[in-house]
Amino acid sequence: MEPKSNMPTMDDMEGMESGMGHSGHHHHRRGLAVLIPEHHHVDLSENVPTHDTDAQKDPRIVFVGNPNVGKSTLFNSILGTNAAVMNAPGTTVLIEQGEMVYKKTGETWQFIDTPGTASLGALSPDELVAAQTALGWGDHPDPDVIVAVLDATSLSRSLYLLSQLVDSGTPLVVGISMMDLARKQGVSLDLGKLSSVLGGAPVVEVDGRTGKGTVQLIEAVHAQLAAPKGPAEPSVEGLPGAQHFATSGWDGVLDWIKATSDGRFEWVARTLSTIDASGRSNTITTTFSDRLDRVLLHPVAGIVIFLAVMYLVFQATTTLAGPLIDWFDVQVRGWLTTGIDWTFLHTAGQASLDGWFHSLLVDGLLEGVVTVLTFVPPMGIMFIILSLLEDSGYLARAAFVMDKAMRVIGLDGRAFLPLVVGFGCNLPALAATRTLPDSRQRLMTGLLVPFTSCSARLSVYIVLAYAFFEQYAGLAIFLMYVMSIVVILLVGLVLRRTQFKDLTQQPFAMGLPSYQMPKLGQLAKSVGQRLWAFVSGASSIIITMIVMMWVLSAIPVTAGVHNDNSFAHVDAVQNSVYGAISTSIAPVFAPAGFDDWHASAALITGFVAKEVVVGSMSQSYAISQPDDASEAEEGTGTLGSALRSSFEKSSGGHAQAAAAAFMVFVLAYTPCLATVAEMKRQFGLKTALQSVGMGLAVAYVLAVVIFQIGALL
Amino acid sequence: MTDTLNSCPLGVDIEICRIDIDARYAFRLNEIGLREHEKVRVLHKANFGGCVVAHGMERIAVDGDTAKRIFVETN
Repeated sequence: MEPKSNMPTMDDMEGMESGMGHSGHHHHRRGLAVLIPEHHHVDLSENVPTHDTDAQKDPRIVFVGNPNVGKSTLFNSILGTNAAVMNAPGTTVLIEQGEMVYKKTGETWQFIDTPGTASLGALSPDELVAAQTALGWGDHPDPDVIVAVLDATSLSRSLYLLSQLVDSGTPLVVGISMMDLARKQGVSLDLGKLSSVLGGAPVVEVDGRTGKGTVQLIEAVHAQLAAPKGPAEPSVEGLPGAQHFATSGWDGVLDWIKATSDGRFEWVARTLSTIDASGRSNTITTTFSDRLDRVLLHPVAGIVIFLAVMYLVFQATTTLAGPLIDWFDVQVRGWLTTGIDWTFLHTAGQASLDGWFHSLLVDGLLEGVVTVLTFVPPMGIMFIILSLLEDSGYLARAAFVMDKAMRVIGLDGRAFLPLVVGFGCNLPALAATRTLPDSRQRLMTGLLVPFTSCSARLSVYIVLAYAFFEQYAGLAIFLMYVMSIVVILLVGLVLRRTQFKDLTQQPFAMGLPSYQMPKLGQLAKSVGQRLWAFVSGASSIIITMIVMMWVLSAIPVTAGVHNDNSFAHVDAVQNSVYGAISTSIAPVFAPAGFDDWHASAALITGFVAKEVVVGSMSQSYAISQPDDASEAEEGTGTLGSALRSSFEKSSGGHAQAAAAAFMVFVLAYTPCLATVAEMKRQFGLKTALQSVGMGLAVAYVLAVVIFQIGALL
Repeated sequence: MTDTLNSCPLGVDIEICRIDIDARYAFRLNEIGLREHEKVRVLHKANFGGCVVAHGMERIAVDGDTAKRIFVETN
């Protein structure tokens, strides 16, 4: 009988007999392969050069490795823009998938990058996806080759996972990363010996940051795919027979992993002593990373440095991005508007500039395009920072430093980063949630991000605070930020006790990667890929919604003062469909004290972007402000007077309470259309809708409570 | 002398003798290198009783609550 894999298992490697029996219908399958459903491992005794059950399917190459071993960097180095992030079947766990044509044969290969895992004995949904993808379990098709990525500086952990992958019976290619760091630490690894220990399975030195070894890795994958296949053969020697566990589904796999762990630890120790000629991988020596950690993980200095890093991140995504945002908003918008005007003028004449089609292009489509462009700078800066933090190895430390604080709401220390960034802009904050390795934590953090008070909301606070609280305006604005933190904690605690009951408070025990200098080329490539994914994924929904807003404000519902309203020529906002909708929903806000169409119109506009709320208010009151008027001046000027008058009337004489309620509503409801689009892109439509619904509910309840209490004072 | 990971001296070779946490999490600690009879060394103390343990070339960060439940023998 032919072996399924051309890679002998650990029994063969060490020339010993397996302790597992050969009885029953599992007589030709041993190791972990015994536990994998039979249909995945057809006896191909005729040496058919295809893969498992479906000869027509493209070969499936699955990347597996511990967290922080450079697996995803390697994956992206090979796939580039051909890879896309998607949910694993039936889960919210993100996996990266892509395909590549192997030029020598013209064959298309499917590549799948799994979440990092320490073991196939999963403790989280992400690890479960990694394990089941590697084993071809459930909805996951069988892998044809597993690329096991090992970290040369954390070999025993890497080899432990490798020992489980060996048992799966799937042909392996081993990519070993961080060899440069291992060499610096005086470790000399013999990759040839590792290959021998693995019965000739290819072992390739790789570095995804530079692309080193990727060509050899691809060739090794091809060699494994081209090798004859057959049923799996024996695995780790001296271990209890897997068939004893084979009847209990996935639990059987877990039991098998536990029962065989001691044998694996011994195998790891033996393998390590065989391949490490220097013998240094078992000795503890002080490294450069240790010296840095002495400061960066110090009980006091570690927190101070972490907060300083967070401050820099916040500044970078706000202050640094500001001029670039303005450049897109003013310069690029100006150029494009001029271009459109010029085209209309020279093709359809002067009158066309006043037509609905011109208005649709400039006030609808172009507005949408510019909105997308204004998010490129903060997103780009965020992606650069994320790459730097991840590639350098600092992000893993940040998780450790903030672990205790974030446990209050059941989150990983890494959740602190998106929540801080959210106070600048929610959009890059949502991008930052992807640093969380656990999908459930990622989802919960994503749902909390919209409650962080982004800088766009500040303009609304300032106008309202100066209009209603005068000398206490500063205090009122400060309290909005306190409120934001309180809302995050409260919503976090509620989510923790309801939708996220399953988030376990498991012990924090994480392998720390060595510090590394990020490579500029890989960083630029990675940032470019992520930016493109954002622009291509979120732009359609943003542009579509903005065009829809234009349509609503372009359709008249009354003839207007001069009886000349027509499509795209509406004399006042309240005479459009948009105005009619604002008027019809205004009574909903009566319990919050702002049953006023100007307020509801501003809130609808604020759903698109908070930056335009003040402009919408001015427009609805037909107030013309000088371009250089500050928000404070607007609050104390004509706009402030108009607001005071409206709120005084709608609140029955409790204008300040109504203003506070309005400010809190602005704080808590949907930050902007772009975040909804990004939420949908990252977490799916259901989560995006949940976020919108939750934001509106929290905002409404808080606004009503604040107004009702304020009216009593 | 028996001690715990969060109170044992820094930079001294120690041997893990017992891990007193939920079995499935204890097994994960075993898998990443923290298991009975294993020789390790605490390199850094971090906030809230957390620490960084050296296991050969590898470094493992452990939170304070868990470190309190990992018992070690110091010489």
